[in-house]
Amino acid sequence: MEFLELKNLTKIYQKDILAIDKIDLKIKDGEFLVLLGPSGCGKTTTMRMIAGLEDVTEGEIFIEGKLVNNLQPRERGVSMIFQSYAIWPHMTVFNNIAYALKIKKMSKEKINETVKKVAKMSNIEEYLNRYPSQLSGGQQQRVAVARAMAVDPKLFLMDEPLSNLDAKLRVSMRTDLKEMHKRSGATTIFVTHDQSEAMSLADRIVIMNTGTIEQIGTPNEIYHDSKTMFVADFIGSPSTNFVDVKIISKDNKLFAKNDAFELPIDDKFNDKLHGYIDKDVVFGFRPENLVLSSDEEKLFDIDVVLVEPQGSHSVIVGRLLSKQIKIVSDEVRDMKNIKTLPIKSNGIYFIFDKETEKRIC
Amino acid sequence: MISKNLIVRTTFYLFIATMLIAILIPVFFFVSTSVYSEYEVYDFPRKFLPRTSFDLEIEWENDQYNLSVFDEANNEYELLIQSNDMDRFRLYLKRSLSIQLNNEEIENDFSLSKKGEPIYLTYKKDLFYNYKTFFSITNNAGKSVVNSVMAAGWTIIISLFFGSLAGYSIARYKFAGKSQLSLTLLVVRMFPGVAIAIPMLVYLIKMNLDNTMIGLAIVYSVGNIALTAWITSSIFTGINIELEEASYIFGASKLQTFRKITLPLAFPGFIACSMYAFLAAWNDSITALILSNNNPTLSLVIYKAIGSSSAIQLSAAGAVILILPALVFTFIIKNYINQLWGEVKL
Repeated sequence: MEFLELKNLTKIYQKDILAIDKIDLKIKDGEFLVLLGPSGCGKTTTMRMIAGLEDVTEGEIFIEGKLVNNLQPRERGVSMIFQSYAIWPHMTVFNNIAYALKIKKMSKEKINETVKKVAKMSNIEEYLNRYPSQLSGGQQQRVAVARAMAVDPKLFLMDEPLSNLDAKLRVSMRTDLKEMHKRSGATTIFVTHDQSEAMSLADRIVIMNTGTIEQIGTPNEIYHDSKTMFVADFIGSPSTNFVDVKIISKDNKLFAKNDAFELPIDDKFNDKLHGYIDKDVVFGFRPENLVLSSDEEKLFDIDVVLVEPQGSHSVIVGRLLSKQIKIVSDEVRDMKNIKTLPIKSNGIYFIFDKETEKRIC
Repeated sequence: MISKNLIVRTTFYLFIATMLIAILIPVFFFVSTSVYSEYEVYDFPRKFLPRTSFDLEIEWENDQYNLSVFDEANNEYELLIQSNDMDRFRLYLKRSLSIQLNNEEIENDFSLSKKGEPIYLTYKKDLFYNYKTFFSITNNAGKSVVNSVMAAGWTIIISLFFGSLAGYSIARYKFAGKSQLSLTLLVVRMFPGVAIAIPMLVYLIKMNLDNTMIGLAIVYSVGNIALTAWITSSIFTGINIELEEASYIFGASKLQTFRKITLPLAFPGFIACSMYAFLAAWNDSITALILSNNNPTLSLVIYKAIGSSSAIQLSAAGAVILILPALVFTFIIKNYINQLWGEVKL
């Protein structure tokens, strides 16, 4: 069952700046959905329109089948965690969490009970009488989470809630948020520009770019079955290596050819590539799909620029036809005496249309 | 290092001391003058601290009392008056020496000297004599205090109401002519109140608001609305809009949000603005002279008293009366001002 539905959603700022361009999206009940994209792609605007903080220029938003376009934020039954936490500095932690409950005119005992419960879940019980300025960033973040949980919402909105935390805390908060989602079962929309955060949290990821949706899918679909060059580039660290090639046909066999190599293409792609013979396309290799090889089997050599050790593996930065190529290897540990490396494909690659940047196969 | 530190510290404290002296000596001068009796005002050399009592010598001579007072400068008794009229003594003691006694008390004490020997008496001075006199001899002094409070109160209300609305809209909304409006607000402050007082008087007369405190407050507000808008807009800008949005999300209406979130956060700024408004209204005498001469404020009354009276001790008493409420007001709001400087965390 659809919990939230966006139909043809459009946002235009100041009459001519198109921020969101006709988005359609359906979110299932209890799903953890991540809106992912670079800054300025419209992910936060989308979330703010769902929350009711931003007017909708065109299109419709349905929550549980009910049109909410003209409802005030407080009438939508949503809860939100803000990027700046937005906890009120002139109230104690207790009053911050109890704010929404007091407005609902809950009884004092019930408020006490609820606040204690969510404070315990967020590990901030001992700080209830403190002011936010007396707390660390991580504790403030927990207060914001506790406040959002206290109202027991049907829909959680999280606007880059982890971006102000240091790297270690971010990873542990990530786990906490995921656990919280499992426990509460509330539908959650999470906005981030951090692809590893998105991959580890999401049931489904929505990748946005310049106001449109590039691809919707599970983290694995997004990674292994990227539909566009943008997605292949944005997801994965290091990102996908793109190589310009030309499709040529020799004796009924297709090859990808450029100045550095000639790669035979699997026959199963023949149908899809039929119209691209003698045309330029873009090959995308994930870093782990380019592997070190022996000199006999190699597809091409790269000029090694530098090696970034990551402990368990190394990222080798090289050049092919004056374009940067990054591959992941656990064999090369440093670049002493290494000038060039022979590389081959492991047979897994994306082929993109050069014009539309859409995936061919 | 040590000597350099010493020089820095010495210079610092010398600077502070100079500042303190420059401020405190005039304050001390008029506070002490306000408790002088008339006799002490014309004392020369002037005494550093006011007297709290007078040593008197009474002698019975030729069927008259000779009243002398001990002059510490010359270390001898100085003859003041000769009389046997108790009313004259009572009035003299009261007016010149600030000693409040009735005729019977004076006669009882003085008659002891009829035995032939001079007698020596010590009478306590009434330290608040000048203050009481100021209110009793100045026309409408009591009314003028009420007027001043009214004018200051209205100025605070008017300039806070309009100024904070302007400040909020400048901080939170985009509209055509916004930058021009902010500039215009500052231009308004360029005109001294006195300069616009005459044309304002014409307006006020037409609106039947001349010689009223509301009319006066409207004129004071002209400059203060601009200042308030200026201060509050920067305060509102400083309040992260997500704090208000969070309140909407968690169930509050716009009004509830303003009351529970925005207003408390902007409160120190409001306090600072009300202090500026208060001081502008409370300290002004020239605009009041033009606009409200027949219904004067305290500062106008004191201005006139200093200008026309030879009794400097009465003017000093008036000045202390004028400064006290301002001091009290400032001390009450001092914590909020500190907050504005970021000293006390919310």
